[in-house]
Amino acid sequence: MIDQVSSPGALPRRQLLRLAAMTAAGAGLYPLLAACGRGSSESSAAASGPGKPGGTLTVGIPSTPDTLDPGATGLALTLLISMAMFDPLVWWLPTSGGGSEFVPGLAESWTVSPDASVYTFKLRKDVTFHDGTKFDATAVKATYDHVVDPATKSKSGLGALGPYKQTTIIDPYTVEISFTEPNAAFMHQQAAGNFGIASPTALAKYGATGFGNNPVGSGPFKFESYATGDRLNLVKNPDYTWAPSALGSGPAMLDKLVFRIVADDAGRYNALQAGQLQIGMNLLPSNIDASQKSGKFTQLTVPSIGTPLGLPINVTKPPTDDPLVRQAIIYAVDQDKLVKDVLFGVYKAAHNVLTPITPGFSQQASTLYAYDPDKANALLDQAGWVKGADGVRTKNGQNLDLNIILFAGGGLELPTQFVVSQLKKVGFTATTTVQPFATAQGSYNAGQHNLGSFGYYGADPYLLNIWVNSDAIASGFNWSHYNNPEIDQEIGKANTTADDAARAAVYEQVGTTLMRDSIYLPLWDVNGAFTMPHTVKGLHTTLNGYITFHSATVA
Amino acid sequence: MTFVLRRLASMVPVLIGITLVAFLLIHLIPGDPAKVILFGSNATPEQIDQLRTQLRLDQPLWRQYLDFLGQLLHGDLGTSYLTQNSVAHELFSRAPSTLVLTASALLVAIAVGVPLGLVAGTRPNSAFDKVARAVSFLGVAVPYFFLALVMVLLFSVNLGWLPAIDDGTVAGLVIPAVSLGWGYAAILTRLVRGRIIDEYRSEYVKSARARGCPEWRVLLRHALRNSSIPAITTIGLQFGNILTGAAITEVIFGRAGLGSFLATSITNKNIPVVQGAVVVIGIGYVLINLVVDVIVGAVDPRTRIAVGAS
Repeated sequence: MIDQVSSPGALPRRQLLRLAAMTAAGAGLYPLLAACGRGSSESSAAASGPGKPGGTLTVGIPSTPDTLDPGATGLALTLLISMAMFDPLVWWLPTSGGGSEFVPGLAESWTVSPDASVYTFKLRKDVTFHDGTKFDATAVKATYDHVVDPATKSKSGLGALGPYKQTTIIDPYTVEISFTEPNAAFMHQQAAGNFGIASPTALAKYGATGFGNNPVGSGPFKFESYATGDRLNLVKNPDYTWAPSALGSGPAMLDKLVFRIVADDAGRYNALQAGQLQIGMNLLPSNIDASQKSGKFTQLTVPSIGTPLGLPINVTKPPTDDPLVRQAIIYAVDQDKLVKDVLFGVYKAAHNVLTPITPGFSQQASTLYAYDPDKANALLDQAGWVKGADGVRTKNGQNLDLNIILFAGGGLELPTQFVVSQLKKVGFTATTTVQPFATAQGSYNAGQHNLGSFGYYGADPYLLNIWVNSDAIASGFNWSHYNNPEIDQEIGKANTTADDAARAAVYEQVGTTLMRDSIYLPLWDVNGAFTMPHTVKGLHTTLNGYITFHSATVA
Repeated sequence: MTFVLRRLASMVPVLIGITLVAFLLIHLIPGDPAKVILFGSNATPEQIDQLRTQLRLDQPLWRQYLDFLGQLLHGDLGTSYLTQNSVAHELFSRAPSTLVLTASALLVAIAVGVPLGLVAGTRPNSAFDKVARAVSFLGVAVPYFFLALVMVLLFSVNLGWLPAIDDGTVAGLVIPAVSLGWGYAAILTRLVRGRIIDEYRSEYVKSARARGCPEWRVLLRHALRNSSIPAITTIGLQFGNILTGAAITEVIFGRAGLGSFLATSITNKNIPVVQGAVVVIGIGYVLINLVVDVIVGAVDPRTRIAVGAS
């Protein structure tokens, strides 16, 4: 081809032709792709012995942290990062038996008052922050006071702290955190990452919001640098000797831990395959499936405490104001098939308002609605919706129509199409709109939807209060517009019960009532998904769907 | 010089227009920034109202716009709702990445498009011309983001030659720049090819040849020079398009640039960031067009005189 054109000519023309030849190669891209797309021959990094110290681990995360201050953040993702830089007073970790346990962190021991309103911590004396400040009771007080300081503009931390009263320094190594009313969720909350103890020197030096760009904690990794929206570099803290043995004692094995922001889901998988990332977080289910079939990657899917991803059902807007219609919706949807067909089987189908690892999860509530389209049809018949020749149900000349509003980026677009196809089979019609989060939030509060989109990562079953409390209808997350003063009271009561078993029993009751009242169509359990080459080892999981990097290795 | 000054003066209404459009667009999108800001903090309706007042979102729109303009005149772009950092800091830390990407894509467009068009135009209907036309057709027909994904699968995932996401190196820039610039290279190829064919038919080329002027001189000195004005104008206009494409390219390659930042900020209704970003990008666009006009003036004195005399 090139020979044909390259008649004798001046030198500049030769150079032009070389460029043209490159261009022509580009045109051959399609057949090449077809040949390589399914190819499996690829040189992967040679795996040396497992668990060797040193090296850099780069984690691809899906969004930009709003701040690096765990006390101020409103993004759950920030906690994944903050747990590498900060220590909580007490860790709450999964046990090998599938349960959970409290493990000393910066506090050696602790006591809880019988009414769950005063928490007293005895602190370690051998801890030093990354900036050289000695850890003691003033640091604990400074951290908690920082979260409630209006200048901090704290989001999740403030929400998680609840009825905080004050932190009192009893002596340099004893501190008392008290609440204006009982707050049984606190032990779980303080461990979840928002309350990593901050260096009081750094808090004073950088100020309430400046700390978010200059985080200083006592954890296994120290903040090195942050290129906004791009990458966060952390380095090993060589002095770290206060790790709980469950996470690996002594300093971190890695030299460097990097969080690389790659918003494109497929981009994270590409970068993982190209060796630019060692961990890809929350890849697309299709990519997770492909990564497993390739045999080159380990998949760590970490269940989280919380409310499964699903569609809140608005109990005030017709036709979902009728409980029979709401029940029919839940009976008509086959979550197991959804997970298998749409999510490639990488997640777990959900049938409840809480995930199974959440304390207070009710097995009974999960069995209320087994997939049963006949039952759905019968319920709709009973509610007076008559199926026409076209399969659409009508009543008084109105179609059985649902207005579905999703917020963009929630991951529910495709699964909702599946849900709609199942609802159509029993006689519903539906319109689905996807709105930016800020817009959707307004639509939900105004009650314009029959079905919305939701899902919540939490630390304690008290999270139910966030989305079922009647106070949260006008401006909060009660997108089901569920108004049940009894449930408000029950959840409040649960949070005043210090005894774990008694508390769980109340939440089990609440969960069952919520499912009976059919205010939520659960789809699949919330979790963190981490994909990595087999060479990455030593990760530990947390109860909020995350991993810790204390003893992680890359070679 | 007067030419440049006149052009600068004519930018003022354009810039005011940009600020107005930026302001109206983000304010007219439904959604309450105060609720987004307080997301997760279990804020009461009173706290949300209080924040709205604090952010002056309860003021009438015209008032908010005047506030925004006033701030802008002081060089203050406000504070990001999300990070509490200054918008100027957030934008300028990301601007270099976008500039580098846009400039590289333009470079690809010019380096590929102009020579290809030149050679194809001098030999219309030759085999080379047919290939060039096919390539340019593909360039226009295939969306840049699709090309980007295909290139990543081929060169990063399968062959391992180039990074799949930005790593700060030149190698990491190759796929984004080529995929983004390719379509514009195709447009330039077609444009230059057509112009060269036209110029070759013109009288002055015939007379130059008749005088015995060497062929390379006919091409470069006469035909190319006269073809370059529409090409340069097109390149200037394409800068804006490339900037738009950069937003998606940035997302695909995990580049922390202005485009991807603007897109997420719109979703979050982060008003100060959206306004700031639109103004900064708008100024950049206006400046590039000024540069293009100056270059066109330099290449073709006729335009310079015409504007200067009017």
